[in-house]
Amino acid sequence: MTTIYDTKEKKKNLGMNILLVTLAMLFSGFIGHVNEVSGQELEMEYLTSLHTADNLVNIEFRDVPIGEALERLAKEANVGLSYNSDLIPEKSVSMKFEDVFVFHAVNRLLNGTGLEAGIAPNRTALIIKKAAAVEAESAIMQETVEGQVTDASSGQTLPGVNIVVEGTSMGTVTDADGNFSLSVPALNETLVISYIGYQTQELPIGGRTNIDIELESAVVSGEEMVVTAFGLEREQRSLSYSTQGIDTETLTEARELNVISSLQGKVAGLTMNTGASGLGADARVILRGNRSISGDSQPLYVVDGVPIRGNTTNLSSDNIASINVLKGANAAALYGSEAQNGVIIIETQHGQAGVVDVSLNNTFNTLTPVQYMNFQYEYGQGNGGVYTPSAERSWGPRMEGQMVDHWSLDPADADTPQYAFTPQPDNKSDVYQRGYDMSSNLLARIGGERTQTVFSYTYTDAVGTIPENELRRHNVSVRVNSELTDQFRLDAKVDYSNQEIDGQVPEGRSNFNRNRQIYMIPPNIRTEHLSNFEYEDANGLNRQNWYNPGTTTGSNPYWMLYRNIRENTRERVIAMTSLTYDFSESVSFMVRGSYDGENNRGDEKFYHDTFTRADFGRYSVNQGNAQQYNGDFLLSYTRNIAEDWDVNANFGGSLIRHENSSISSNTGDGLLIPNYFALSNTSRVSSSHNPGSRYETQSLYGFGQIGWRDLVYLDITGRNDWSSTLPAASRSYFYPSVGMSVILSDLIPAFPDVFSFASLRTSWARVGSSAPPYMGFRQANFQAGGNNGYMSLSGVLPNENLLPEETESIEVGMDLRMLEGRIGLDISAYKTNTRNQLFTIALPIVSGATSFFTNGGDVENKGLEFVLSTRPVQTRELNVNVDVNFALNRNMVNSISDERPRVAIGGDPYFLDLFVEQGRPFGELYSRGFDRDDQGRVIVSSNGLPRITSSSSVNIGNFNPDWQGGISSTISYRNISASFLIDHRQGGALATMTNAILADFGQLEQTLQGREGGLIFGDNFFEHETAVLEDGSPNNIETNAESFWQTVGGESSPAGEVFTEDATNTRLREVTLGYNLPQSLVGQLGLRNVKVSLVGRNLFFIYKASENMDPDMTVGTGAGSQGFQNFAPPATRTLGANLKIDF
Amino acid sequence: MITTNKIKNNKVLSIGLLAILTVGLAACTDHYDSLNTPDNSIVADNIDGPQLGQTFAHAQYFGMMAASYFRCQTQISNLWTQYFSQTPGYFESDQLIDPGVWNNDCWNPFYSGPASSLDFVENFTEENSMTLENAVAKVWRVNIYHRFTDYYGPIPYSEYGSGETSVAYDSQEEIYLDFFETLDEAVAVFDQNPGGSAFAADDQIFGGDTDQWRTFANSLRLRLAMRISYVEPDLAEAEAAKALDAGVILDNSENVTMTTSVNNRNWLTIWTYIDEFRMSATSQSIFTGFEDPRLSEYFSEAVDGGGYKGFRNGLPGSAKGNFLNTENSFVDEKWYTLPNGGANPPNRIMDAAEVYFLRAEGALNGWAMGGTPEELYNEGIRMSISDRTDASSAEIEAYIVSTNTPAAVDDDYNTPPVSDIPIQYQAGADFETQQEQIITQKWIALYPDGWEAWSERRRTGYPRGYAVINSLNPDIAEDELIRRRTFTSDERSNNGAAVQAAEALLNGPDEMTTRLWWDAKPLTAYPDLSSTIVD
Repeated sequence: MTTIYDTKEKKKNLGMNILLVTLAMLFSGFIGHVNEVSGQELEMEYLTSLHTADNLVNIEFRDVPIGEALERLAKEANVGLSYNSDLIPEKSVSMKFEDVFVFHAVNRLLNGTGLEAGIAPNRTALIIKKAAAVEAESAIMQETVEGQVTDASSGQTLPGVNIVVEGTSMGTVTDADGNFSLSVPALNETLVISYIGYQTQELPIGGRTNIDIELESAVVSGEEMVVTAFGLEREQRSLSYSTQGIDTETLTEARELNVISSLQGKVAGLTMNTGASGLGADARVILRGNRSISGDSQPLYVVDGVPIRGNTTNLSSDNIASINVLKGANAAALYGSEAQNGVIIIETQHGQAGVVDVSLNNTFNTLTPVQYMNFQYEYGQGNGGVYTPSAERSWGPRMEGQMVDHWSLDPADADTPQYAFTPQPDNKSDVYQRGYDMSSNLLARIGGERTQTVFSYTYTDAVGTIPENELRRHNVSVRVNSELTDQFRLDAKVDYSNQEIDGQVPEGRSNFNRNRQIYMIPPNIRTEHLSNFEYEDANGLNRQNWYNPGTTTGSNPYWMLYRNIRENTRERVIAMTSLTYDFSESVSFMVRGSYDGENNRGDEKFYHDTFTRADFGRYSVNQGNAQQYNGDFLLSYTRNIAEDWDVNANFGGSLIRHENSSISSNTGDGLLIPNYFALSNTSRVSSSHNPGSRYETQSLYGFGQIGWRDLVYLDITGRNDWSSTLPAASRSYFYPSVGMSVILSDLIPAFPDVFSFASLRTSWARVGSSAPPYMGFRQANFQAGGNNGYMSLSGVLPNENLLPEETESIEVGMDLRMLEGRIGLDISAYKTNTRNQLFTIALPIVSGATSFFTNGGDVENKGLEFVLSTRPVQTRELNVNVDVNFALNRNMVNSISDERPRVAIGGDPYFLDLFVEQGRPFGELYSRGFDRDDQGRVIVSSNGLPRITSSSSVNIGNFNPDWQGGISSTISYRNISASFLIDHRQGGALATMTNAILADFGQLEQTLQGREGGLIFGDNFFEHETAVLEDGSPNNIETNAESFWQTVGGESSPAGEVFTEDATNTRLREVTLGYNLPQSLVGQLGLRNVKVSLVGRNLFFIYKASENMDPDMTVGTGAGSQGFQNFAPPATRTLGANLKIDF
Repeated sequence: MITTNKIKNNKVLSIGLLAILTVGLAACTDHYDSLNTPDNSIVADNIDGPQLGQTFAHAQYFGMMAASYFRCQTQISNLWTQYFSQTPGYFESDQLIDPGVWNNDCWNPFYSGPASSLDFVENFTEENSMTLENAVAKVWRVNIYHRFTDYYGPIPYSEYGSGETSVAYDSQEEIYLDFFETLDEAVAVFDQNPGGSAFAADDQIFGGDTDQWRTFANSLRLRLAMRISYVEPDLAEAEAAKALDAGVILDNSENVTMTTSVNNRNWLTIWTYIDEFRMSATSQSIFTGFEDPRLSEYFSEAVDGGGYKGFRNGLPGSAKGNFLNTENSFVDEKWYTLPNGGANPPNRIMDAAEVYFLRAEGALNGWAMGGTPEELYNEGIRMSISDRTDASSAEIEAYIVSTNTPAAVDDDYNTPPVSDIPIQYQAGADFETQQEQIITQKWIALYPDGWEAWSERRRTGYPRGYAVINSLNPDIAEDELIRRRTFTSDERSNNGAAVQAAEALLNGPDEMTTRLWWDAKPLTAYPDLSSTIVD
């Protein structure tokens, strides 16, 4: 589907068009009857109508002067050619025509020359003349063109095909028989014919009034263009590595606030976890497995050819023209250091010559909280079956409507000292709400002949499922492409975003995690009591109303929502300017500068009486900024050196510099005037300033490709980096890659006909990577204290002998297309080894230091990916695509360091440790578990409770999935289309501290069993375990639920083994339903196209192995927070509608 | 609109511009070293004279575990010596469990913070022949390290700061012997430099007065001597005599306290915002039974009324909760956080009262301590009460001769008086009774230094305390004492071989039940707490 024409060609024809081949063209059709004519008959009919000027040519030019090319074309097509040779410029062209009308071919050759070809009246000769002047769009429709559109390979007629006059908004779609009739200003216009699943075709009318059009299927030829390193477009067939593009349509249709979240389930080999902070949460993306021991293993994001900082959380999906995922180091070898974990390449919208259009895209989604927790609502607050109003746990009596003491501190409640003890099954869900997100985008393209401008503005407004969690975002971008002279091209843009998020949820075990407070609401607490979260005390001060006043671990959740206020703003500017100078057809030089800067500010306002953490209120402000400057140049050379040989060579260099700093300040112990939030409102302002870090990488690189007859391609790249963070001796490092792609189907004459296309690719690459800054010195810290301050030494020892890290990878792949492209299969296999890893080794703290930075280790990832694309049904009215992707990755930590065969990289200090361990896959989880004897039997103490190990010595699993896959399908019927996406994750352990704590608190449904006693571990409880007493005899001692869950659960030393589940799940991720309003109606409204879509994201689990959790969510998106979750918010189900209007 | 012509005129210029940009890109890496040096932070190699004092100041303040006082002391030894009981249901250290995280959170900040600063200061002063500063640093080393070996037994001591990936532990015996030698060295320097000064204003204890450091060094020697009195009685007696001979703290004016300010607050004050402990039943029994004038200086009355109330240590999770905070006595208001009206009192490290009680016990052992046990015991009480309260000397003397004994605690467990010893010294009673009287009074005087008080409880068994209501630790019964903290899990991860080797330096496995080297009093001589076990 990705057919990208050389934009240079397009900008020539005055008044030409290329209306965006977007929604309008994808799904549209007219109701009509089935055409009975067979393909063959049609073809015969078509052939007989041919005139000489319409002859097809198959020819290729490599750096051939235009004049010569024209002659050869004419000869090949046996058509006359009439021209004034003085008009023909002396430049060379490289072009390939496969079954292209000679007329079309000649006009392509003439593109950019100010000339065009016309057809002689006898239709056997072409006349070359100066191009006609631009026709005003209001030109009177003088002519009518009719014709029929068919599938080039099957000859079947195609209904619903979009046909537009280039550069205008005039257009139509074919009817049920594939016929069309279109009024045009003149017969020298060009038609743009587009249809889903087919290559978009530009066809000069060439004076004809009847044109039959054949469309080539998009997948059959292997000629799709792919955006690769440095924004270079290359044919898919020539790539020696695996890439996968994303259908950007769904990014705006089935919208996610974080655009990267939309990739889930769509890319083979991409693993994603979403943070649990509510609206605007980050996502963790891993391509082909974790590989970095101390780094975060996340890919590099490159926007419009320039690496950006971090990820794309606040980019607008409307402004994205394409996303391409370069998965392995091979693909990314050119981006250097930061790209060893793969690259996600994003191109933003840019203008096209002759295209003037405006589109409006509106989305409204509702966000519904979906709770996967099973809470119990039979027993209320208390311990040992006895009610206490201040009990945090719910081991109290059965709730049977008995009157119990009220807990309210509000003097107004003094006359209702008791209330009925009844289940309140909605008290948790009452806190949550249905949220929404709404976004409006205006995209305007003004495409002049030489200068094209795109303006895009998006406003996003969202209200989360947690009250007070709101997001507002403005995205403004302007991009200008201009051909300053025939040789000089400019590409410049500014993307600005301003995002405010209120009430972002602190993640994990934090007492300020709102979800934690909500989940812990005892089952008998009434919403109407709880929501009365504050009252005025005798001194007129606002106080918190809560059943457990002064608690160190919580607060009334409503208080937390409305009286612990968090406001975050982020401004980001990404700006880029590039100039390209074409010295000749084969040599060009590009120089580019870019800037990516961000300012963040976070305010926290805690009201007076926020228990323990801010008894007297607190105000804090944090500000940070980060910048990246990038300058680069690229010298490119392309030509064919001999008949069969193509050479493309590039040499470039870049300089990237990063800087950041932050400052934070707070009021310390408390505010002097309650609830007046100013930093000066305190007796003790506390502030800190982090001067931040800065580092720079300079690089020189060269890359090139040699192609032989478009059958064999050889790619070579080399890059040298100079990193400021490494010691002088090792700061310069070189890394190469080499790759090859062979088009087997064309190379081997006897290749089975069942394959319409087959290519084989292989590549090898090594990518280097640098260190964090300032590792060469031991630093000291200074803090306030004593009479003159306190000085202390940093625990990190310097290392003056650091080496760059390197990832070596090998990849082989195959691209097979069968049955005329109705089936496509892309298979990749890879192996990567990341060696000399830069990581910190924890020293025994008693050595006088905590850690030092060193090199070592070898983490291996190998895997298999396939993408299967099929078109099982392809008729004029009904088209069905089914795409399947599958990926498995096997990870092994071959070595770390002799001194440290095991490195802790994260976890939760109370719950579990996350290790990278020599001889084991990356990410082993350890926690406490059952104490077992030699035979693996659980040892039970004399009180009937299983013994729990004293330390986190039990391996409770590994978080890596065994495999992942997705299946998606698009079904289009006339002008209705529908699609769905199902993704599956197989395996991987996920431990949940949420459940460990809630089980201890008697809040989970599973704590209902055995409340009155009678539980015998290993017998009628945990039946799958064999349990013995300390003397080895079978356990026969009864215990009860309260004792059991308080032993294995809890916050300070839970047995993670009991709360670890299988993350396997199958989810209906996305469903869309689209309807294009009939063209007749749309035309009457003066619009070009109107599409209405209904979308649903994250709908439901088809299968889920675990209970009480959504396996997507982790505590954060850092490397150390994988494999467990802790009070994640309810999942969000998105249902909404999207309206897109093209003017 | 830019015309083609103009551009052509500017073409040369444009190409020139490109060339300049290109050259700019190909810039050299000469500036990399300065780029990779932080602007606004200090490189350790550049620390010298003036900053040395600030480094020592850091070692002083944090050496007593200010930053992790809560997890290192309030919720550990202050519970295990039974000053306090724990209120939240989800913490378990009062039920004889030592949470591994807290263990790391105690050990790591010590060795990465003050130990590192002090090591730097000791090395720097030695290399630069700053003998007085070096001597002060040595005394401080003995003071902060003895507390750690008293928690764990063998600890890294002599090899500290090697920068190696494995750092050996020293046995407690070797460490204690080195303490005495170190004190010898320091005192010798002080002797040669009477009226000396070191670190001046950066010394938050004595403002640089090395004569006072000398007195502190001697008093510390006495404390350590007493600690080893069961395992090495002869050495203990000799070191105690040496201490007394050289001059120990005799008066409250010589007390060792560290100044506080808003930036370096009283260690207990820092943490009282966390409502997770209250007065223990043991404290209630002793203080109310004795009608002790210090009670109102140590604790505040329960918010819910009923005066000074405490509750038993080791309540099971289900019996704990926030309600305990309002039903029981918190620490006195002076230790409240500053916005809550706290006074941010100076931190107490060692005082005259403790020295007199050490001497009283020495005298009880038959050592020449410049007085009878009774005289020294009474003087200890006088020092403590006069330092801690406004009581008149008549009130103090009345207290000293009071026959009050600990009181019963009115609770669900029919908790009896914790002991039957009176305040009035029983010179004619058996050794254990006299020792119990001395240590119980010392325990009162040490408050809130549970770190030292727990060491003394392990060494002597006093004050008696109660059996905990519930033990979650299968190895320790309700009426047994925890004997030590285990080696930390972080050490096992990062210094595993050395930890394994250190196990051989213990008297048993690396468990909380294994007795330290100096913990050598016969178990049969310990008080029997089984009568207070609650079923």
